[in-house]
Order: sequence, then C-alpha cells, then structure tokens
Amino acid sequence: MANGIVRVGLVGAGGNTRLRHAPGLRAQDGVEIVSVANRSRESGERFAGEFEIPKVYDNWVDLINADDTDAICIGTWPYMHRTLTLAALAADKHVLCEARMAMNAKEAHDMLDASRLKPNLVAQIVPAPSTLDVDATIQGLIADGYLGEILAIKLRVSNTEGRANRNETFADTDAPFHWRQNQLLSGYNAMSMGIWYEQLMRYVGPASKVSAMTKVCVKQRLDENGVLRAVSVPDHINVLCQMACGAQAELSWSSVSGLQKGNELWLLGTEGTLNLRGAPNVLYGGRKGDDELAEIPIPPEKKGAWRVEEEWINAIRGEEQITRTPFDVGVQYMEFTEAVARSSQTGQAISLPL
Amino acid sequence: MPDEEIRVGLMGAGGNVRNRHIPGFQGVKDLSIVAVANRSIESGRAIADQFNIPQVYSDWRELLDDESINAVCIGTWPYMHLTMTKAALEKGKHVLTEARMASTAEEAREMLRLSHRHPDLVTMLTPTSTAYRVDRVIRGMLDESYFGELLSVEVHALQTGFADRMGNLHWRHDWEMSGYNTLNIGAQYETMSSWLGRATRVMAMGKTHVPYRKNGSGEIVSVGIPDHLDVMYELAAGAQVHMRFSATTGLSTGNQIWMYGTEGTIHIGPGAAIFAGRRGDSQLTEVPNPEDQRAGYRVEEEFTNAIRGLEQVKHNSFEIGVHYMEWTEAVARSAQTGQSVYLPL
Repeated sequence: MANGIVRVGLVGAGGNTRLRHAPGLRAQDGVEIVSVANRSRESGERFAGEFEIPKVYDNWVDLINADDTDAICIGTWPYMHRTLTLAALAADKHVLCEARMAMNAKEAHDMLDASRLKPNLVAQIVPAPSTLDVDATIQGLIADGYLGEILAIKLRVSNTEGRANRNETFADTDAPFHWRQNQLLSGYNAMSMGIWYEQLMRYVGPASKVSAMTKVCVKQRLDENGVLRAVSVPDHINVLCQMACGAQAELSWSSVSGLQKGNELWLLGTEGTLNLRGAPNVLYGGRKGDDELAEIPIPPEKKGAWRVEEEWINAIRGEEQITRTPFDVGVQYMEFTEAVARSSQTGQAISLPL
Repeated sequence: MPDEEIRVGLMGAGGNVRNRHIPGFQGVKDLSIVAVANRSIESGRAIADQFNIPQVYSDWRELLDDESINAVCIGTWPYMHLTMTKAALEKGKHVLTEARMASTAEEAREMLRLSHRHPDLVTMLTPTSTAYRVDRVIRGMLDESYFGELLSVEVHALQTGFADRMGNLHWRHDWEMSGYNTLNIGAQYETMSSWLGRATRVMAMGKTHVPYRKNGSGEIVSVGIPDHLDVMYELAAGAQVHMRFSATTGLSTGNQIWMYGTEGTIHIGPGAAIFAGRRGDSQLTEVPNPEDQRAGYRVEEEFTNAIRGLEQVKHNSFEIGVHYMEWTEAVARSAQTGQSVYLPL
C-alpha cells in the first residue's frame, strides 16, 4: 500500500468482475484499480476503457509481479484459480478469488496451504450470494431453537445458468457449450451446487457422508467454433447427505426440469420447519401446533447484502476478518463437490472430510 | 373351475380384510366366505359375527385342513405370507395375499417358485391402493408420449406431523413383522414401476428419528426400521428418480410426484390432482380426472375371475411382488452399506 491506497490488479474480467467487483472496488475509498489482464489484449483494453483502468497487460504473469500492485482480483474461470492464487500470494499480493474456488478439492487445499504460508496477506473467495438477505435471520432462528433438533433437509434448485433463454425450463438442446459445462474449465463444479452447499453450511454446517447420482441429459453441444462437443458436466444431480449436525439432507439441482421454477430449501426439525423459497427469497416457518406455514418477515437490521469488495479492502487494512468467504470454507465446499462427483462415478457413499 | 362355487377362508382379518376384501368377496356371485382364523379365537369370532361367517378356526392350519375351502385370503402381516402361501398351495387352494408380499426378496422369490409349482392354482397379491385414482389419466398420457424422453422423477411420500417421540410401536416399526418393508416404499415403487418400468441401480440413506417406542405392554423398545428414507435410483429406460419417505416431516407438503421429460412435465399433487405442461407452456395446468372415469378397486373380482378362468391376474402377479420386494431389499442394503445395489438382485 502506498499512502494508504490499495492498488488492485484484475486478472480475468468477465461478467461478475464487470457487474460486481470493478464497481464495488471503485466505490471504496482509497482503492485504485491499476491494471487488468484479460483473455486478449483487446478485451482487456475495452474493459480498461469502461472502468478507467490505466494499465492493460498482455498476460497475467507481468500483472501479478508488478511492484505497483498490492492486491489481485481473480475473475477467471475455475481452471486458473489455483495457479493465479499461488502466483499472487508468492508475489506477496492479497487475493480475492472468484467462486467456485477451484477445479477440485486438491486444488482448493493447495490454495488454503499457500494462504497459510502468507498469514500477512488476505485471501478471500467470492461468497455464494443468493441468500445474503436472509442468512442472519435463518441463523438466528436456528440458534434460538426454532427447529429443535434438525432431522431433515431438502434443497431443490432449478438451474438457469447456461441457457439460451432463462425463461425456458425444459432441457435446452440449442444453447451453446457453456464454460460451466466444460470440465476442462470448471472441474467438478456443476450448476450451482457449490453455491447452495456453501449457503446450507451457514445454517447447518457440513456433510459427513455423501451419496450422489448424476446425469447428463443434453450430451452434446456446439461450441463457439461450431464444433460439436461432448458434455460431461451433469445437468441433473441428486445428492443424499448425512450432515454432521445429524440431519439427513436431500439436495437436487436440475437444468432439465420443465416448468419447475425457482429454488426451495426446507429445514425440518423436531419442533419446527423453515422453508425458504426464491428467488426473490421469501422465508416461511411453522412450529409444532401450527396448522400451516406462515411467512416470517426479515427484520431490516438483519437483512444482509453484497459487501464483498468492502470486506476484502477492510480486511487488507486490518479492519475486519474475512467471513464471506474464507479459504477454509471454500475447501469444504470443494470437498463436497468432489465427493458428489466421486460418489456418482463409483456408486459408493463418500465420507467427508476427504 | 368355471362352475364350482368359490369357498373362501380368511387367514388373518385385519383392517384391510374387513374394509376391502370381505365386502369385495360379498359382491362376487357364487362365492361364500366360509371360515376365518385370526390371531385369537375371540377376534375371529367377532369378525365371523359381524360378517355372517359360519366357521371360526382357532388356528390357520385347521382352516387349511378344511377341504370345503378352495381359496384363501391371507391378511396377516408380511412375516407370515410365505409360510401361509406355501401351506395353502400345498393344500390345493388358490391364494390372495395382502401386500407387502413378504419380509425379504428371498421369501418373495420362494413364493413365486411355489406358485410355479402349482400352475393350476391362482396366486395374487393385493395391489397398492394409492394409484387407482390417477392411473388411467397417467397411462393415457404415457401412451401419447407426453414426456418425450423421460429424464427425472421426484416423489414425496411425506407425513405432515412432527416426530412422534416415544410414540406407540406399530407392526410396521417391527422388523420381525415387516422385514425390509419400510414406510410405504414398496407401494410407491409398485406404482412408479407400473408406469415407468423397473430400476436397475439403487442408492439410499435412512434414519430412525424416533429410535424408541412403547409396545402394547407399555415397554420401551428400540426401533430399527427407518422413519425417514431417501432413495435414488436409475430406471432401465435411463431416467433418474429420487423418492423421499418420511414420518417426521412436520408441516411439509405431503404426497406429491413430479415427472420431467424432454418435452413435458406431469405433477400429481395431494388429493390426486394432476397437473401437466409441455414445452412452450408458461405453467402447469390441471388435467381433468373425472371421478366416473377413474379406475375402480376390483381385487376380489379379478381374483375370482382368474379362478374361473375368465381373466389373467395382472394386479398383482407374484412376479410384480418379487420386483418390488427386490427393490425394497436393495434400498435397505444400500442404506446399510452406503453402496449402490444393482437390480435384479
């Protein structure tokens, strides 16, 4: 930091960097986005023009090693997260890494280990964003005993990412091969599995055993060059978990469930039931003795929001600890993600941690 | 025996026998219910008085020795089905057995083998009663290839009460009485497989949320049969199914089925309401299921028609029972071992 200014370099400037990180960083006092390196110099220059970034690099190696940079925001697809994170930490730069954390559990562990070798640096993963408004309320209800002992969990997610038309819910055979469907770029990550598992962990903690079945319903897609590619990332996933908290969870993600819209999470206990439906999120609950579920209002003071860039900069300045999301939590969801893949490959339950 | 009178003996006379089989038999021409044997002679006599059954036996073996009886209805809990079926067939009597078929897959297979040894006798299982109301509509949609290619299925068989800690022990909680049968999993699979075909691979997880219950004598006993069960399976036709069964899901949404295909979705809600939609639709809409066009309950009619050579047993043959008992056992084995279990066993 020179004169208290945090100087940030962007590696990879895709959708979320444009939508969230670049505006979020510019909104912080004492932060300068000093550089960007994207897949091509042209796309980097376009981005630099849009956000008034003075320097465009041809490659990330030079950007990460530049002396005038304190912190690196990694916005690439997962296949580069480990390489970039290790290089940035080795160059003594703070890291904010886009989610999902890595391709697999081993890479996530490498990243966690590397961050522990540099305790003076901040290492943060972009958090799962879809329940930030309701997290504190749900956590508070559970802590106050609303559910009693948690017995069962259900999560059902209708996935819209990678669709040609997000209003279409049937199997989409026309959409092009998306990077999320490309195992070489996304690793074991599939649909919003890691996002929702991270969110679920905020309420009930991690799983101790995972059984999964997955299916690729749309098996071939055209890539941007018109080449027909085989798809190995599943578009329908069923997971059963034994949770460390004692509950049994049943989690599903699907891009092929026609006319099934939105997401629903059920937390079922001995004394009460919570049901989160979205998006937008609406929380319902009921307790023993009630006839039906009723909406639970979210108190304004408990309504969380996106503050990723603020948290990162505050942490760099020593003003707060990273809670959304530290690397060790990233390791947990990458272990879950890999357990799902391994279980679906082998047909056996996989115990966690790996 | 087209012209002969059918003379039925009841072995076990629980709720379903009183509510369904006895009235059903009473509606069949040239048929008499001639005897009953229940757990006690007193309970047998009460049934006999209520339904004008002339003979009460204190023991089911005496009933089978009665040469005037040519068909039996076995209404006990699953643990006796094999033993009674074997004895009845050996005495030359037609057999209608209450569901679930047996305690284990091997018992079910033995019953099937015994039926093959007696091709002159009719053997039949009581089918599940949950699907009648929607069966014709769903079959009609399947015949029209409503789904395109079926991709995935989601089934909820959820009770809506909270966990009944220290509740009463029911025979369905008792492994000795029920074997691998758990909640109503066999009935759900029977229905789903009648529409969509059989499973090839099963993975399951189960929990017993109420681990102790009070038996009839007020003693606290440990319960081994799960009261919460998740099952995933692959269909021979390729689709992936998830079923959740639970007696502890308070304020949940109850019993529901969703079936998703490449071109269409069918949803069966509580109360047998059917909703469906195809690609291009903006939402599911209700499919008419007029009461007068729904399939009816005709178990005793089918059984007696089969005895008279007027039709073949379809709902259910012993083969169907073997299929659902193998699946039921596969669920239990997978839940025990954490491994996939492949079918047939």
